[in-house]
Amino acid sequence: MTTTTQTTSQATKAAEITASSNRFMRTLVGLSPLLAGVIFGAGLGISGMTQPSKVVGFLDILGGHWDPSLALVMAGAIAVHMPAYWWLRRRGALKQAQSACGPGVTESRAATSPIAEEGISASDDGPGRAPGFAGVDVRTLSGAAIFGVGWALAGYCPGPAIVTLVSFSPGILVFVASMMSGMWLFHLLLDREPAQLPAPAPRTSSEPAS
Amino acid sequence: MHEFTPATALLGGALIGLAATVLAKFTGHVAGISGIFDGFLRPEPRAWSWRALFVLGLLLAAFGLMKFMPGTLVEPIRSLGTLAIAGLLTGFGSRLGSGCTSGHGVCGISRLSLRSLLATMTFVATGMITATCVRVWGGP
Repeated sequence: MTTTTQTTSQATKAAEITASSNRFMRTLVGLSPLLAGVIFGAGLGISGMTQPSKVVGFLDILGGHWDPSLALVMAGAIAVHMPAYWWLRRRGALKQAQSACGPGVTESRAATSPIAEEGISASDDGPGRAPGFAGVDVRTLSGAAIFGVGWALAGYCPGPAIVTLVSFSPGILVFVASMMSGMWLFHLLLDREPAQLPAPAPRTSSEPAS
Repeated sequence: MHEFTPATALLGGALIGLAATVLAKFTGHVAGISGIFDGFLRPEPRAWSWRALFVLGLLLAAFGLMKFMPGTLVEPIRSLGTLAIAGLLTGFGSRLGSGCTSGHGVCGISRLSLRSLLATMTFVATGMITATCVRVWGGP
């Protein structure tokens, strides 16, 4: 009798611990975008990318005072993210994004993701294989060309501009306001209707679990 | 002004890569700032909150930078008129091209997307041409 009670209470306790640790994990996962944003913003500041003179100093390659820092920022980011991404992917440990074609996000949103299909596993031939020329088109390249001109004119790309907003300097307010207008203009003029999109690649249900 | 800062560049870059990894691991999303910001501005009910959290995180980091590393947040170096034009081009181009330095340059290249590599090479090239023109024909 006593033993049974003890066992039951132990089981309850264990269940409570599991439940609370699950809650903790869920909270952690729910807040992960916030954490990612904080780390990302800190990285932008520490790397020097919030200083337009360093961006222009990189792009002005023939100016006589070339500053290669920006290239190292990208190299540092890729050196961390590329192996981490592929390692997690191989283990099947990446969360499958719901957004690409899933509920809550329109297909036009999926099409404006930097990578044609969020979670490349949906479209390519398996881990380790590059997706080839998928998504390479005039739109992407002309958009990138226009972006480069704006980026060099101001010395801001969107991330550092958003971070610099907290200084409330008139220049950055003007830049971010017109960046928002530029995005709005795109949606007004050129955003494709979902119906005109090519059919999304069939999504494989999941990575092979290993 | 144009001092080469390899150590902080690499460290800051590594943090950016870590942030992109956290986002991919726990949400499966690409850490492309222009896309996140755009989606944040055009709310779509079920995909809004993670973007809002990410933008909030950026701003929290910005307050931290302002307090502990004030030298990192500097005044823009261009006139208001130039900044207005540059902002329009940056916003429009990043949407037409489906990504910016973070989405194509960091995440896309890391995922071995040829599209992102070509986009990155394109905006670095037009950026270099523009920066050179600005220097040669006088800063706006």
